[in-house]
Amino acid sequence: MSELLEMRGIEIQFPGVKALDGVDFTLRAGEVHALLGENGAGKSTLIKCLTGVNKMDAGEIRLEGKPIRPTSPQAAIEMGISTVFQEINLCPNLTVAENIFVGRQPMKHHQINWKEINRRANELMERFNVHIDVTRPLSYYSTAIQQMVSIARAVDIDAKVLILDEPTSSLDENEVKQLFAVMRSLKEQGIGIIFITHFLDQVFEMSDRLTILRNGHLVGVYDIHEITKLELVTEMIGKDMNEIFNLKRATVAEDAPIMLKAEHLGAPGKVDDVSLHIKKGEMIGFAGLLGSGRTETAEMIFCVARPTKGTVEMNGEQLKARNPLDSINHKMAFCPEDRKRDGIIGDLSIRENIILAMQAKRGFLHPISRKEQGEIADKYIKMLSIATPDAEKKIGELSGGNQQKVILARWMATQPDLLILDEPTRGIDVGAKAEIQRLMLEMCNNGVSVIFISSELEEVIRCSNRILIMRDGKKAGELGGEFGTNTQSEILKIIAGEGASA
Amino acid sequence: MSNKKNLPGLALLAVLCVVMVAMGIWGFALGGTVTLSAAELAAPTATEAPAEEVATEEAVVEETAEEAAGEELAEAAGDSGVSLQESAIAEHLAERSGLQSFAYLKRFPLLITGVLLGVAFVVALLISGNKMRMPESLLHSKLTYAVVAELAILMVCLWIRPDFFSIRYEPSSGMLIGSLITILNRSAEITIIAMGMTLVIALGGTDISVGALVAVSGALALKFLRWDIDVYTTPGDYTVQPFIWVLLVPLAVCLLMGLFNGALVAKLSIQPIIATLILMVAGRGIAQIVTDGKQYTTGYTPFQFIGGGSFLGLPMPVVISIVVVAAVALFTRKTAFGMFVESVGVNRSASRVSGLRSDRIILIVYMLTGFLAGISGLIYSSRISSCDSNNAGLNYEMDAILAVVIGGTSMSGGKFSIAGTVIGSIIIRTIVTFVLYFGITSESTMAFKAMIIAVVIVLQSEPVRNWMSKRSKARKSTVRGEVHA
Repeated sequence: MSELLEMRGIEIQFPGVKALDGVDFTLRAGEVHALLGENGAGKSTLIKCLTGVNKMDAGEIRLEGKPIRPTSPQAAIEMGISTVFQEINLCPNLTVAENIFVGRQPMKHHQINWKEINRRANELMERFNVHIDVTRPLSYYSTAIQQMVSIARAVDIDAKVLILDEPTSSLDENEVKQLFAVMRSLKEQGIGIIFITHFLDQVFEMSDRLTILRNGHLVGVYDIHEITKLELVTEMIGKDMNEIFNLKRATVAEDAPIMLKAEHLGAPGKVDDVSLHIKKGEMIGFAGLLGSGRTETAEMIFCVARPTKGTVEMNGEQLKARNPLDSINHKMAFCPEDRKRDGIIGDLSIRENIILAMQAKRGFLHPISRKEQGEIADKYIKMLSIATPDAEKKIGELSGGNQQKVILARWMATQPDLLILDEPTRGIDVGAKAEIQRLMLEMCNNGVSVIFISSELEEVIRCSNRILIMRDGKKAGELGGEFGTNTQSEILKIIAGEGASA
Repeated sequence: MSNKKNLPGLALLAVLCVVMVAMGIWGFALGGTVTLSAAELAAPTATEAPAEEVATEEAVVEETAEEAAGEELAEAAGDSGVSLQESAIAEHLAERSGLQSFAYLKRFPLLITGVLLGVAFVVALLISGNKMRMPESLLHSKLTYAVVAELAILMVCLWIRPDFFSIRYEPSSGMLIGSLITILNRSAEITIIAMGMTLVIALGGTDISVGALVAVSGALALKFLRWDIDVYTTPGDYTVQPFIWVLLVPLAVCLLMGLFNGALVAKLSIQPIIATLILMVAGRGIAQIVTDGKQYTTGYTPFQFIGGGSFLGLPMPVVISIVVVAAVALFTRKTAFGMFVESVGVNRSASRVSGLRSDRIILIVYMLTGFLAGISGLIYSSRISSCDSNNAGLNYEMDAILAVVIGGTSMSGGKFSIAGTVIGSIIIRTIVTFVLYFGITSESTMAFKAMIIAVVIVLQSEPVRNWMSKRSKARKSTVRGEVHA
C-alpha cells in the first residue's frame, strides 16, 4: 500500500509547553489507523495541525506525495481531509438533510433544490443503514443518529482522509456495529481513516495499525497483531496497569439496611413500571441499549424528570416535593449523562462548580465563606487529582476527564448516601477512567450506595454488585451474585430479548 | 467583590476615585480662593475687567443663586427638553467662567497635572506588556478599558473647562455643587435601573420594559398626590392620599409588573426580549390610563425632596443610588445569590440538576428590576414635579443595557460586574456632559454620543483586548521559554 498521508517531524510550541515534539505519522489508503494516547498526549493537537487549526512550528505534511499546508479547516476539507469531532458540530435546529448539505446545496434555477437535497440525504443515510426522516430537525434524533449524520456529511464531501475523533463515545453497541460497517465500506473505497478512541476493544476490532503518543512524543507505531491490550495500555500511560485491572468489587453485608427503594416508577413513552432497591454500600449497574430507559430511570429517581407514577423512598423516607433540590436534601447525588448540557457551568471557576450543589442545598442566604470554598475546592482537586494550576480556572477550559472529576467532586462535597452516575467514564482516557472507577468503589466501601450506568458492559460487570438490565423502558432482568466470564453474553442475551432471569 | 478578576479593575477605580477626590479638593480650595480674594486676583488681569472689581462679589452671590435656579429649571423641564436646558446651563456656566477667566492662570497647573496623569495612564497601559509587566487579566478586563475611557473623557472635559473637577459647598441649599456631582446626580436613574439590568443580563436575558415602568411609577405617584384633579385643581404643597401610598403603590405595582415579566420568562419560557416587550408597549398606555391622559403636576415638598433634596451635602438621587448599589452588591456578593444568577445564566439545565431553583431565581431578578425601575420613576417624576407618560424614562432601557455592557457583563449571560455597571452608567452621563461642554448643538448630541460610545465599545471588543493581552503574553512566554530552556 502507498502512503496516502505523511506527517514528518511535526513540532508545535504552545506558550510554555511543547505540545508536539518531532512526531511522525503516516496513513495508507484504505486503512484504519488508530491514534492513541491519554488526554493531553497530543492527539488533538496533531489532528488540529492536520486540519489547519493549529500552525506547526516545524515539520511537513504530504498528501499523496505532494506537500500541503492547510491553513484552515475549510482549506483542509478542500484538500480532502474531513473531520468528525467528538462534540457534534452540526446545527440542531436545521433538518438532517440541511445539515448534510449546508454550504453546498444543489441549486436549480438559482434556488435551492430541496427535492434533490432530501433525496440525496435520504440515499446517504440509507447507505449507512439508518432509516430516518431526513426532513426532521436534527435535534429530534438521539445523539447517536446525530453522530451518524455528521459522519455522513464528512464522507459525502469527497474525502480522501477521514478523521474520526471519538466517534463511538455516544453510541451503543448496535450503533457501533453500524458505524463499523460504514467504516469498512469506506475503507474499501480507499479512504484512509484516522480513528481516535478510548475504547481499546474497538481499536483491536477495527484498526490495521496504531500510533501511540505520550506527552507530545511518539512512542511507537505498531501493526495491530504485534501488540496486546495490556502492552498497549502500558505504553500509553507509561506505567504498569495491573493495579487498575485489579479493582475489587465492594462487599455488602447481608443485613445492610436498604438505602433507596423505588417502586413502580413510570412515565408514558419513557419508562414502564420499574422497581428497584439498593442496600447501603452497594453498587448497582444499569445495562441496556441507549434509549432503553436507563438514563430515564435514573432521572426519575433523582427527579430531573418527574415520573407520572411510582414512589421513591430514601432512607425510609418518602420523597415529596419531587425536584432535584428535594433529592439533594435527601442525600442523593446525580452525575448526568450529558456533561456539557447538564453538568458543567462552563464560565464559572472550578471552585464555584464544586461548591454549587452544596450551596444549593444550604440556600443562597447561607453562603459558604470564600475561605471555606477555597479549602473544599483544594481538597477535592487534590483528592481526585484534577489537573489544574488552581481552583480559579474556568471549568470549560479543562479536558473532559477533569471536568468529569469536578462534577464528581461537586457531588462528593454534598456527602451523599446515594450517588447516581450516568456514563461517568464516557470520552475520558484510560487513566482517568480507572481513577473514577476506583473512587466509586472507595465510596461504596464508605457506605455510599451507587447506581452506575455505562454503555461499556465490561466496566459495569467489573464494578457492580448487581446488574439491572433494561429493555424498551422496562426492567428486562437482574443479575446478582458472582459474575463469571459468560456474564457479558448473558446480559447481551437479555438485552436482545432472548432470555430473562430474575 | 468575590470575583478575583475584577480586582485590577477595582484597583483602577480606586485610583480614579482618589484622583478625582484630590482634584475636587484642590478645585474646592481654588474655588474658595477665587471667591474670597477676587479683588486681589483680578489685579494682574485688570485690563480685562477693570469695572468688575467691584461687581465681582455681588456677581458671585447672584451667580450661585442663578445656578441653583438653573439646575432646578433643568430638572423641572425633564428629559423632554433636557439637552436644551442643559446647554442653557452649559452656556450659563461658560459665561460664569468667562467672568472669572483670571482663574484660568491659577488653575493651569491643575490642568497640566490632570492631563499628564491621564496621558501617562493610557500610555502605561499601551506599553505595559514589556515595560511594566501589568497582569494579563488587567489587560483583558473590560472594566479596565471602561475606566480608561471614563478617565479620558474626564480629562478632555478638564481641558475644556479647567474647573471641571471643582466642587463647592453651597450653604443656602446645603448641597455640594460641581460638574462631577451633577454627573452622579443625573446618572442616578440609569444606575439604579442598570443594577437590575445587570442581573437580568447575567441570566442571559434583557428587560426592555424598564423605561415604561418608570412612566407607570411616576404616573401612579402623581395620581395619588392629586387624586381627583377636578377637585384639587391647582398643584400645591399638599397630597390627597397619604404620602406612604404615594411611595409604596408605584413600587408595589412595578414589583408586580416585574413578576409578570419573570413569570413569562421563567414559567412559560418566552424569550425575555419578547416577554418584556409586552410591558414596554403596554406600560405607557397604562400610565396614560392612570392619569386620564393628563399631565399632573405637584408642589408637594416631601415628594420634591426625593429628586431635589440633599443629604449630607449630596443630592438625594445620588444618595438613593449609592444605597441601591450597595444593597444590590451586598445581596449578590455577600449571599450566594450572585453565583446562582451566574450559574443559571451560563447553564440553566445544569444548574437545575445541581439543585438550583432556577425559576425562582429568574422571578426574583425580574421582580427586583421592576422594583428598581419603580424607584427610578419616583426620582424622575420628583425631579420634574410632574408625570409624563410619553417621555418619562424614554430610552432608559437602552441606556441601562449599554451601561451593563460597557461595564463588562456579556449579553450572553454569566459573570457580571456591579462596579462595571456603575462605571458604565457614569460614562454614559459623562459623555452627555462632555457633549454639552463641547458646545455641540442639541440636534447632533445623539450622533456625537453614539460616536464616543462606539469608540468605547471598540476599545472593549474581544479582538482589541486579545491583541493587547497577546502582546504582553507573547513577551512573557518568550521570557519563560528562555528560563525553561
